[in-house]
Amino acid sequence: MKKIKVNQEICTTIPMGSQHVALPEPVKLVFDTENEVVKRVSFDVSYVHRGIEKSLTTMYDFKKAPYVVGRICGICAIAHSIACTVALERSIGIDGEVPDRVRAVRMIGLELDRLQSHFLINGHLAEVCGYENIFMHLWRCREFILDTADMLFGNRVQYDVVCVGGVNRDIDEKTGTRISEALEEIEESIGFMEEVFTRDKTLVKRLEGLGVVSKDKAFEYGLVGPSARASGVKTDCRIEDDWGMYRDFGLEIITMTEGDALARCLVRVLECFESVRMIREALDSTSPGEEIQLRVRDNPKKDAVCRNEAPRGELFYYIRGTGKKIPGRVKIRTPTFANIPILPHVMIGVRYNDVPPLLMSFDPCLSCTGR
Amino acid sequence: MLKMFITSIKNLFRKPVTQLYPYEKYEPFDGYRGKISWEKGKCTFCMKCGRACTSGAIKILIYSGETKEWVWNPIQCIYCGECVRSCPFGALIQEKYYASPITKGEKLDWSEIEKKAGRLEDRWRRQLRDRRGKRKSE
Amino acid sequence: MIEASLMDFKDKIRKLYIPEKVHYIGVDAYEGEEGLEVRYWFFSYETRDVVMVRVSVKHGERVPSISDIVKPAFMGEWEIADLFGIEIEGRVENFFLSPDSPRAPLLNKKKSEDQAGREMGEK
Ligand code: SF4
Ligand code: SF4
Repeated sequence: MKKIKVNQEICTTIPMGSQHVALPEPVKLVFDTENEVVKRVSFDVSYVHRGIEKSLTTMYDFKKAPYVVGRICGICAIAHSIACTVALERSIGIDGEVPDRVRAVRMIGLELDRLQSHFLINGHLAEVCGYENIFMHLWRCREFILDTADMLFGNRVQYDVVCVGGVNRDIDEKTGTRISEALEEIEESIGFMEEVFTRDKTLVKRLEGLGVVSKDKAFEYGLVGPSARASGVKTDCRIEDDWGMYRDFGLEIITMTEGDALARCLVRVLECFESVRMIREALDSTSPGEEIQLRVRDNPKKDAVCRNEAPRGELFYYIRGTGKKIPGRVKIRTPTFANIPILPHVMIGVRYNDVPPLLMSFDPCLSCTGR
Repeated sequence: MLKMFITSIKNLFRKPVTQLYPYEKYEPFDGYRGKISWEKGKCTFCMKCGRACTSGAIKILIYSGETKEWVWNPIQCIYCGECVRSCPFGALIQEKYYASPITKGEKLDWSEIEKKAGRLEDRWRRQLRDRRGKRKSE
Repeated sequence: MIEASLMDFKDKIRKLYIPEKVHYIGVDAYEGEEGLEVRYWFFSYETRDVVMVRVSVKHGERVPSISDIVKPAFMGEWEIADLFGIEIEGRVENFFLSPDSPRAPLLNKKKSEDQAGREMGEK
């Protein structure tokens, strides 16, 4: 810790990171504080760059790309795979031919992923607030979701189920019924989570009014995902760029107006109900046994983009097809990348002990950001 | 608040959701992505699996004479199952049990294998090109 | 898609970007046969379209920052500054890459391309 002068006032510099208990991943935030109150923030995200964009344009051909981009993030792996696949399919020109069953299986994967991610972050937030008990409880509930995913796709978080032109495993009748049973249990635990985040005095008092982002600010800084929706911005890429059947199923965009940390949590909780509904609809709407994989003969030849709603918000893929097996450029803009610029602004004036919950309420995923 | 308290008390007596591993064996679900097993009799060494493999974990070696060998690196594999789907003869199966940990003695010298297989692949590629060239000239 | 030059792209973006109606997605660079170009991506809530503003630049040319118009743009700009070696006004060194990593790894350097790819793969 060292003391420096900012605007004639004595400030204490507190570094947080690159490793910190509140952070699951490495990021460095440096706070200049004056008696616990944060005055200035600077950050550095240069710890986890792995060159995945480069490797996609030099090493792997496009059929392997969905598996490679799944390794960008451990939690929202399938969101990356789907966005990449949809962009590739648009680039090849077969996105109109993808069968309904494929869309349904992809939707189930993405929504399961969203469920476990929201449970994870809300549990983690409770832990950062010092509420170990809720953390344990929510992660126990998350275990059911992971088991469900294991049953469906053969892995707990890295589903690897999407490939260009389809999906590579189907959900059979028997598993379908077991999923429906599991969903009931999951719904119950979401109810529990909702109760915790609306009723529990400790959490509500801690999170209420923390880090308020007004609607104008949210627009100005281009927030995405639950963080934007908590400030009243009605945006959801599942509706805006619909690769599945979300519009047919009437997905509801959940918004709140408070814009504080509690609202961000609650948006996530309510989204979980919506996700469960989407999984049910997707299971019911199509039946197994249809064709699940198209034959892909062409190479990517056009420029294509895909916006997909990852658990953390808008995920953007741009693929430049050159007619060769390896695309010319793959651009990945991850949700956290859009949510970081506002952090220094909301953190100013906050007491230092409130910084970890505030940071976690934005649900940062730094491995995604670094790529 | 009271309800929370009741939940906490209940939790004291509930069974844990995770398994107590050494005492209780973990039984994976059907369709778990486990190790890749290869059946020698069915394989024709067409190398389709090697080309489809995402991480380059499959190589084919040819020893002096005609003995060929299919090698798989369990450490490099990401267990995506792409090789199993690509094999036209059904020689590969993805089992539901994962590969056992590797001890020092049985570790493959993968860089050496890659070098050898790389030379072979180059030769195949050259032959393929020659054949194509012939066809074109005809 | 909007084509623009280095002189007037800021005006065009200023005209395009209204925070309530247009969402800023990101900034990206690409090096093709025609040379280097910087692309700004926007999404219009009304038409539900992705709009691209394309600016072609030469190597070593200084690109002004648009973060006075689009507030969150600075992060994306620093990213391409690190990955492509584009000079952006007001950038912070080594924001995205660690200090000892190779410079401008996403540029197509003909000679060392394979090597860089292998290096990246190993990491
Ligand atoms: S694809 Fe099947 S037959 Fe061909 S080399 Fe691989 S295992 Fe053998
Ligand atoms: S499972 Fe995937 S990574 Fe492993 S050997 Fe097969 S294709 Fe390669």
